[in-house]
Amino acid sequence: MENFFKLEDIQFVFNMFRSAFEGVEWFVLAYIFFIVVFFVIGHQTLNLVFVYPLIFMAVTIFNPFLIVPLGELIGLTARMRRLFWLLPVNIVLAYVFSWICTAPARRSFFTNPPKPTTPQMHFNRKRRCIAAVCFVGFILLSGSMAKTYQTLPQNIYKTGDWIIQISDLIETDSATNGLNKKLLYSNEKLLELRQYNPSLLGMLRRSDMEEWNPGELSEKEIKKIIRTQHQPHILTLVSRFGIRIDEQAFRDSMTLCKIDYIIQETEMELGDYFAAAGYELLDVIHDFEIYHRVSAD
Amino acid sequence: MNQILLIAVGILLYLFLYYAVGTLVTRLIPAADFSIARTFLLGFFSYFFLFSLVALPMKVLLLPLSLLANVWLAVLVLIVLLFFFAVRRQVQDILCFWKDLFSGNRKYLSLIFIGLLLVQVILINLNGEVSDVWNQAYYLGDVSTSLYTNTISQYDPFTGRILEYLNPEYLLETYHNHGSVMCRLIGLHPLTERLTVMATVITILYQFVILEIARFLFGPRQNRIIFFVAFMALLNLFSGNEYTGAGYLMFRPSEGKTILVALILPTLLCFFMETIKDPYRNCWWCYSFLTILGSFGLNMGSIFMIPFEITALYVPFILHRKKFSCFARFVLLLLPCIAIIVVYLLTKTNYFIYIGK
Repeated sequence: MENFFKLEDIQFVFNMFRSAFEGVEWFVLAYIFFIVVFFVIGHQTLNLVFVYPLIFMAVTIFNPFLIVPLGELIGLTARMRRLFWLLPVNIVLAYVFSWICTAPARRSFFTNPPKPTTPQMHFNRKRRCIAAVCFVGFILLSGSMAKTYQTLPQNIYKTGDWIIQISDLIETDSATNGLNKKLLYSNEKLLELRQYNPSLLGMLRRSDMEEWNPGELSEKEIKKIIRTQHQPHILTLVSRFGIRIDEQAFRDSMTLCKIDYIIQETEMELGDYFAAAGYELLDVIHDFEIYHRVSAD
Repeated sequence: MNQILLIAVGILLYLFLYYAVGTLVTRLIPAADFSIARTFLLGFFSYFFLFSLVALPMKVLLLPLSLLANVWLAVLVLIVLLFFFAVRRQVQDILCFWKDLFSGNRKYLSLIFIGLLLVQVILINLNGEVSDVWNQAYYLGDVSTSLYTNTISQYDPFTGRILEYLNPEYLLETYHNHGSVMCRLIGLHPLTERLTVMATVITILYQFVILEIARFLFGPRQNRIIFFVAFMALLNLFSGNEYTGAGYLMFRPSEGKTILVALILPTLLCFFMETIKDPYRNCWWCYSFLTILGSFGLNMGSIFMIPFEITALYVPFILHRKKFSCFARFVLLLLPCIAIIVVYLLTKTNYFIYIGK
C-alpha cells in the first residue's frame, strides 16, 4: 500500500504545477476562485464546461497516485507540465472580467416599464469603468509580461545577421577553394546555421552537443576515447570542451570525417592548435572564429 | 522584397485554402448556423488530415519530396475547383455577408476585432528570440533539410546526414513535411514559411477559436465578445511563462506543440460547448472527430492530450445529464486516438522504417 501512495509522487506533480504556472500564480488563484463561484451559483452550462471537468481532472489526470505511474509507463513523465494546458485559466478569467465589465444596469421595479433609472445607469457606467481598470490592473500587476523576453528580429529570416554572414562566408570560400561544406561546431547558437542553409553539413549530433558529458577527464581517459575511434566523441572533446587532444589524432579525425571548416568560440583560444592541424583562420564573426582547411598543395 | 511578397502570398494562400476546405466540409456536414471562424478552423484541421493521408504513405515508402509536392499541388487544384463549383451560386450571398460585417454597428466591432488581431500578429512577429533552440533546430531543420535533399524527413536535421531509419518519434507527424512541400511550391525560405507565415496564420486561427468560444459564452452580445477577445489578448501577453500555452504562442508560434495548446485543445472545448447545447446534433460530433483526425499530423502530443481532454469534458457531461446514448459517440471520438497510440508504440519499439542507403 505504501508503494502506491508515494509522497514523492505528490511532490513531483506539485513541482510540475508550480513550474507550469510560474509567474502567473495569481491568475491560477483567481481561476480557482471563479470556479468555486460558478459551482456555488449553480449555472448548469458553466458547471458542465468548467467545473465538472476540473473536478474530474483533479481526481484522475492530476491525481499524483494515478498519473505518475501512468506517465512512467507511457513515457509522459518529462512532459507532465503539458497536462496543465487542459486548464482553461485565461478563458475563465476573460469570461468573468468581460461579464462584469458589460453587466447591464439594474432594473427598477418602481417604474413602468422597469428599465433602469438614470442614477442606476450612471452608477453602472462608473462600475463598469472601475471594474475594467481593476481587472486590467490585476493583469498588469500579477502577470508576467512576455514582451520583456522578446528581442526584435534582425532580418526577415528571424535569425541572427551573423548566422547569414557565416553562411555566406563559407559558401563563397567553398566555391572558391572547392572545399567540402562540412563543419565542426558545437555551440547551440550555431544550430540556426543549418536551418538557414541546409547545404552546410554538421559533424556533431544532438547527443554529442547536448548530452554527452564525460566529466573531468584525465590524460589516460582522453587517450581511451581516442582509441575507441568514436569520431564524434573525439571531435567533441576539442570543439565543445576545448581539450587539446593529440594533434595527429585530431588531424586524422578531421581528415577521416572530411571536415573542411571549423567554427569555434573565440574565447576558447584554439587558433594555434587549429593552425598546427592545418586550418587557417578565415574570419571572426560575432563571438566565433571560422577556420578552413588549408590544402596540402 | 521578394520574400516579403511571398510571405504575403503565403499567408493569404493558406487562409484561402483553409476557408475553401472548411466551406466544403460545412457543405457536407452543415451546422444550424454559419460561422466564418468555424469554417476556417474546420478547414485547417480537415486540410491537415487530408495532407496526412497523402503524405504519410509517401513518407513511409521513402518517395521524394518533389513527388509529394506535385501530388499535393494536384489535390490543391482539385480543392480550389470544388470550392468554386460549390459556391458558384452563392457568390452574391458571400459578398453580402462580408459587406454586412463592415456595415452598421457591426463595423465598429469588426474593426476592433481586426485591430486586436493585427496587434497580436505584429507582436508575435516582432520577436527574433528563440525559446527552445534544440526543438527549433529539429523542427525547422527538418523542413530545410527535407527541402534541400528532396526527401521526406530522411536526413538528420542537426548534421545533414542520412538517417538509418525514419525517426519514430515524428513518423506520424506530417506538419513539417507540409512546410517543405509548400516551400517547394511557393518558393518561400523555410525560416520565413515557419517563423512568419505559419506563425501569423496560427495567431489568426487562435483568435478565431477565441471568437467561437466567446460566441458560445455570450451569444449575440457583441460588446461582451469584444471584451472577451481583448482580455484574452492581455492575459496572454502577461502569461510570459515558457510552459503556458500563451508562452508557447508568444515564443514558439509555429510549432506543433503550440498548435496543440492554442488550436486543438480549445477547438475541441468549443465543439464540446456546442454539443452540450444539442447533444443529438451530429454535426458537432463530426466536427470534433475531424479535429481529432487532423491533430495527429500536426503534433504527436495530441495522442495523449486529446484523450485526456475529451474524457474530462464528455464523461462528466454524460454522467450528469445521463445521456448514455452519447457514450457511443464519445467512444468513437476516442477510437482514432487509440489507433494512433498503437501505431506509435509499434513504430517506436518494433517496426522501424529503414532507409537503407
